[in-house]
Formats: sequence, C-alpha cells, structure tokens
Amino acid sequence: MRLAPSLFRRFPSAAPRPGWRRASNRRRAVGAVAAGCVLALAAQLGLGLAIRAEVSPLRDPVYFDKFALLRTHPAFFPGPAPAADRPTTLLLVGSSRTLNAVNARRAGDDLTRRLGRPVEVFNFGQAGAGPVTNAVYLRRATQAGVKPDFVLVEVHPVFLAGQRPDPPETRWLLPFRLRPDELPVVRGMGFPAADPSAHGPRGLLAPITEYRFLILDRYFPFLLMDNKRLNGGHEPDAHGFARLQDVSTPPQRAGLMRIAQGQYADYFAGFRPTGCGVDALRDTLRQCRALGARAALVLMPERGGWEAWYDAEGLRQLDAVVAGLAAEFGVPAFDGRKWVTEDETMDGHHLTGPGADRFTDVLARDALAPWIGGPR
Amino acid sequence: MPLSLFASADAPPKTDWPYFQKLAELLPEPFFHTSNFLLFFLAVLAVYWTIPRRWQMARIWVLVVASFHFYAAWSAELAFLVTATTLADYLFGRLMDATDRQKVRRAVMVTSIGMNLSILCYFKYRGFFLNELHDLLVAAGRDPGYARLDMKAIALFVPFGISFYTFEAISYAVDVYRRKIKAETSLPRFLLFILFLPHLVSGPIVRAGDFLTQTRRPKRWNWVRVQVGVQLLLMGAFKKMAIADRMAVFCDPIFHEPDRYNTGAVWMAVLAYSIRIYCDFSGYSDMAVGLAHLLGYKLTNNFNMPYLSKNVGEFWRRWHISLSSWLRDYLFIPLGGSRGSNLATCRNLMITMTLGGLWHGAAWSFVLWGVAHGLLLVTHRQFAAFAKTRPALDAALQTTVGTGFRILLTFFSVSLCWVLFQPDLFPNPQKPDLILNGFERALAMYKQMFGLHMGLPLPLHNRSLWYTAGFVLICHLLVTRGAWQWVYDRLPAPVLGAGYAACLCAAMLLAPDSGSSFIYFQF
Repeated sequence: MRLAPSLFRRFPSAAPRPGWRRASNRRRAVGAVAAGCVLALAAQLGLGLAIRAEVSPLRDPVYFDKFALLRTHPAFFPGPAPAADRPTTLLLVGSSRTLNAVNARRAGDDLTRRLGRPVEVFNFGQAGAGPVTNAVYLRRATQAGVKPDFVLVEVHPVFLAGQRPDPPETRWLLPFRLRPDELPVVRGMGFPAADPSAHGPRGLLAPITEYRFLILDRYFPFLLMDNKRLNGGHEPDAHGFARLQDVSTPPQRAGLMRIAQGQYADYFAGFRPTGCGVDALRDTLRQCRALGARAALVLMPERGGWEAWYDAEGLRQLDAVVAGLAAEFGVPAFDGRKWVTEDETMDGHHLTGPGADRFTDVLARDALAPWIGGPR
Repeated sequence: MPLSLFASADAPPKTDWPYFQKLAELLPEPFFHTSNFLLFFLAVLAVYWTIPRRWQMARIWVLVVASFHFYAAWSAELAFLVTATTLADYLFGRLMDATDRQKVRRAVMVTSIGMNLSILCYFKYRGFFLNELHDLLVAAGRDPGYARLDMKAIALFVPFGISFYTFEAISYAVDVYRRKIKAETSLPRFLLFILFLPHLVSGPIVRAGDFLTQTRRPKRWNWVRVQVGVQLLLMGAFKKMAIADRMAVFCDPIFHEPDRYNTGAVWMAVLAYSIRIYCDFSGYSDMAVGLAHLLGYKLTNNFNMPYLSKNVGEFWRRWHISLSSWLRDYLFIPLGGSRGSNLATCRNLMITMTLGGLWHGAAWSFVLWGVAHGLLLVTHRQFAAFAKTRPALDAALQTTVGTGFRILLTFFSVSLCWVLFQPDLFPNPQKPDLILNGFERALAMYKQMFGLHMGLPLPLHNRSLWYTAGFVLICHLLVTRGAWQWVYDRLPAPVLGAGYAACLCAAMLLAPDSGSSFIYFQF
C-alpha cells in the first residue's frame, strides 16, 4: 500500500551544478534575496499605509464595520441641506448591553407608528464600548458627516468606576485602536493611553505583527487559536442590533452570571462612579449639544443580583452622578435597570432575543416616544 | 517527592555596571527572532563585511566582541565568566601542546575537563544535589531547616548555553590530548570558537576541528551563501514563531496542571508538545546555522526530519545530531561502544543516555527521560537482532505498511518520553495547586493519559492544532521524498523571493502574543 504515490514519490535529487552555472546561481541568489526583501518591505509598508489612511479597517474593525452599516442609512448623513422629508433619526451609543438590548428596526417602526412621522433608529452599541469609546466613536462619526437628531447615550455603571487606577475600559479600548489625534482627547478625559508602538515606525515597518490578531480575525478566522472572534459573536443586523439566543436556561444563566461577575469583580468592591467614564459621558453630551442633537441618558437592565455586587454607597453616588449630568446638560435620564425580568437576560445584563424585543417596546413606549415627540 | 528547595532562579541577577545596563535595554532578550536582535545583528554584519578581507583577524575580533556583548546584554557577570573559562581552556590547550609528556598532558586534560564540569555542576546541578542531600538528611531525621530560608534569594541562574559550551570545551581538550587537532595558538580564534554568537547559547555543539579551520579561511561575500542563510533564518523563525509558540499555548497549561484536564485533552497536549519541542529547537538551530552562513561560517546541521525515523536509534541520528554525535564520540565509544558483549553494549547505551538526560536538566524527570530513551534503544537493539533471525518478520517490517507502523511506533514512544521532559518549578503564589516537581507532573500526565478521566477540555480550539500537525507532517514528507528540493531548484528567483517574503509575513502573523523563550536555552 502506498500513500498518494504521485505526490510523495521520491524525486530525483538535484544534479551537481557545473561550474558554468555558478554565475547563474549567484544571479538567482541575488534575485531571490532582493525580491524577498523588496516584497516583504512592500507588503509591510503597503499594509501600514493602508491602515494609517484607513483604507483598510484594521485600525479598529469593530468601529469601521459598524460605521459601514450606518452608511447604508442616508438619513443619518443629512449634509448641509437636508431634505424636508428626511426621517427623524435616533442614534444609540453604548456597550454590548445596548447592542443586544435595543432592536432598532422594531423601535423605529414603533416610534413611526406612535409619532405619526418617520423615525429611523440605528443601534451603534459595540461590545466592550464604555463611555470613553463611545465619546471617541461619536466624534469619529460626526467628523464623517453623521448628524442624528437624537442620541441615546448608555450609562454603564461599571465603566464609571474610578476607585482603581486602571479603568475597566482599558481591557478593551487598546490604544492602537485610536487615531493618533484621539490619544490626547482620551487622555484629557483621564483615560490612561500610552503611545502605542503601532503609531510609530513599527506600524509602518511591521504592521503584520502589530495588527496580527485583527488580520487573523478578519481574514483567516480559522487560524485563531481560541476561536474567539473580535466581535464576540455579535453579528448585527442592518440596523446595528445583535440578537442573542431566545432562551437561556437557569443553569446556563448561572454560569454566565459567574463569568460576568468575575469579569468586573475588581470594580465592584468599593465601587465609586468617579472615573474617567464620567468625564467621557460629559464629553459625549457636550458633543451632542455642539452638534445640535438632543441627547438622553439611559441605564440598561441589570438583574439577578447585579445590584448586590456593587458597593451600596457607590450605587447611591451613581444616582447622583446621573442626575447631575442630566441637570447640567438639560437632558432626560431613563432608568431601565428593572424593565425586564431575570429570565429575559442571558447573564443579568445581556438580553435574550425576546427580552430585547420586550425591552425595546417598553423603551419606545415609555421613554423614546415621549422624549422625541415632546417639546424641545 | 519533596519540594524543589534549590530550584534555579527565573532571571539572571541585575548588573551594577551602567554600560551593561544600557546594553540590556538595547538587547533585552538573547533570542534570535526578536527585532532588537535582528537590528543588533545587522549592525554586526555591516561592520564585519565592511572590514577588508585581508584583515581577517579584525573581523574575528569584531565577532568576538559582538558575541561577548550579545551574552553580556543578558548577564555581564556571566559573560565574563564564560570568557574567563574560555581563556583557561585556551591556556590548557597550549600547555598540552607544549609538552610531550603523556602524564602531564593527561593531567592538563583532566584539569580542563574538571574545571568545565565543576562550573557546570555549580550552576546547573548544585540545586539538584543539594535537594537530594536535604531529603536524605530529612529522611534520617536531621532536618537542616533549609525550608525556612528564602530559597528564591539564594537561587542561582543557570547561564544560557552552559551545557553547550562546556561540551565544546571538553571535546576540544580531549581532541588536543588525543592529538586529533593541534592546540589553537591564536587567542581570538579560540575565543570565537566558544563565544561565536550563533551557537553560543543553544548550539549546535561545534567541534574545534571543524570550526577553527573555518576561522583561518578568509571570508568572501557570497550571495549563494547569503541566500542559504536568509532562507534558514526565515525557516527557523517560522518554526519558532508560527508553530512552536502556537503549540506552547496549547500544551503549557495542561503540562502545568494535568489533573484538571480530561484524557483526550492531555493526549492532544502531548502531541502539541512533540511538535513544539521539535519546531522550537530545530527552529533555533536553523536560525543559528543561517546566522553563521551570513557571517561566512558553516555549522553542523542539528536535525534531519527526526519524526520520520523508523526506530529510536535512527531518531537519535536525526535528533539533536551535534549532541548525539558528541555523546557517541566522547562517552559511548570511550565506554567501549558496541565492541564488547551484548550486555556491555546495553550497559554503555544506558549510561550514555542517562547522562544525556541529566545533561538536559538537573531534575529526576530528565534523568528518567534519558533512562527511558536508553531502554528504548536497548529494546530496539534486542528486537532488531531477533527480527534478523526471522526473515518473514523482517520482510514484513520493511514493507510500506511495516515502515509506516515503525514510524508511528517510534513517534509514539518518543512522544511518551517527552512527557518526562519537564523541569522542576518554583512555587507560584498565584497557582498554589501547581505541581512543582517535574517527575510528579509527568506521573500526573501519565495518570490522565492512561485512565479515562473527566475534566476540562483542551483550553483552546483544537482545529489549529490539527492544521499545524498536518502542516508539519506534509513538510516532513515533502522534504524526505525530495519534492521540496525538486521544486526549489526549479523556482525562478522572483518566485523564491516571494516565498521568502510570504514566510516572513506568515511567521509574524501567526506568532501568538505569549512568545516564549527557546526550551533548549535552559540546558
């Protein structure tokens, strides 16, 4: 029995090269080494430049992918002379809580019906996006021509934690995801962002190393070792909403709750909403005001013992912080923490599909419709 | 098994000299696949080839100074130690050559070997022997109370490559004594023989006869040689970064805490470890040989598709060739080799392999690894003799199926032995359940492998493991059957260059975040 004889047959060994071939060997060696150097350098430089010029989305794929989705909704890009029949636009910014909780198409339809005029809603929630990320993303989006009429800004309590020197968002908002001109902005909010090596010469000469996980994630996901995609399996629909599974069993939920608690455990103990997240929220609200967009704050659902994980004094301070921001900018604040049951969540803060539908309905009916339909 | 009281330190002591502190910042790791090393090497290469050919000695000095700095960046004190012992070995060689009196020559050789082995024992085996002494005293009811000391504070760091350059120095002393070679008269040439940076920290173990002759030949810039060097460098980097380091992510957690994982996961970790250790060390060797080529030197090839060996004897002719040939020439043959009775040959094999195991690491796990390989060699020897008297069995073993079976059996046996190939660890406060003793960890691995145990699955997705295993197997087959060379000879230069660029990019792309050091650096 022979295994694939045609492929693995013994190949004749190379004959010794006669003297007259030495020169050609030399030429071949020079050519191969030179071509290798030029091609390797060209590949690195080309990729580096493409990333810097944002021709390639590798600098921050989660943002650029979501933004590409938003581009398919021209109502959010009114330009200098918006059409008279342009629908009212509502942009939701927040973390995966928002991403998985607000079915934007459903909310848009509901609001359109309730208000009697077209309303278009887009869910710009991103996995791992805290207030600093949201402030950066809103800045990028507005620079690219996005001008929503209304902006609903999520307040994720854990992301406001300031009792530790490392804000929780540092786990996700890695500095190489930021543009160089965004570094001083986030530092100004108090977010610790060191100069990433990708912004220096390494970003041009060795971008394949600098961005290797993002390249694998995007183009060769089968080579990812832990099979964990960057978006965490959150594939959004055309309106930016990522629907999770319909049912979560109690054992499944208990396991996921343990993971969620472990993920933020360092920030629950002695929780104080005094971190850079508060400044970032303030920055976001300031941007909305400058843009002429009406903003509102929202606390997304937290069930199944989340309240007990926080330091009680910290929670009291959180209410004061949210109320203070609302008063400072004259914006409403919606507290949706108890709008769903524990059974409607996967892990106490990410909603199941039906949970998201119900939350969306409550949000549209009790909060968004009165707000959007009400006086300025 | 007791706690490893005198385990080796994790890192070398920090130097007090500002010059070397600055050097350490520039070259923080003595690893060939880091960008800092490549920049350093490019600078050395530029200076080296700028010096005119007729100034060969100046070029040698450049390499000596560069090699010293390469080592000193990691530990200045130990770099001076290596240089001092090299100087002593040089003087011992000159002394041996200066006299014809056999007794004096013998005494000098013994002194040279004794000095090298003493330093090796002090740094590498001191902890091992003190541990055993401690345990004996405790067993005898006389606890010396070492457990109350801060063992981390008194732990020594094993100098990188100490086992390699010790063997090079010993082989030099023996060869000069046997008059196989003349003692080197030029100090810089001798310094280069030991300190030559491509082989300094992890071999290949070079022989003085091979290397010193090369130092006498004036080097010309040779593009074909440069091409070979670049090719080996890229291949080595790919093996290390894209295969070995990825496999480490699979197997390290399981090798550290085997009792937490299920049987299937532990078997897969063993497969991953077999691939890892091969690609790690052969990748390093390829890079070392490639770097040497760029400087105009040729080092011994250390690996030759060892996992396609048909028996353990062949495996040792293809695995770490420079060590196995050293053990053969300077231990096995002086012990009597295979010239005596069958029993004597088996004894010599066992002694050679046991000491070979101890050479790899100061722990019982390494000794037992050597013993296991000795037993495999003895078993194979007996079986080969038995098969020779049974023509039908012999013929069946030579068929394609028989050959495939022998290859699989050899790989399986070697992989089982790799489980023993584990160092002792220091206690880790973050992981109190960690099994510190290498041998105990190996036993826990075997327990999980040969009993049906439930537990955690493989920590990462196993698809990547299968792709890598398949890739390594296909490369082995292509190279062994000559297809690789056949294609290589016919590729036009630009395509070959594109292949080099692709290899570099793939190595950079597939390197996991936790790039580890080379396994063989600890030996």
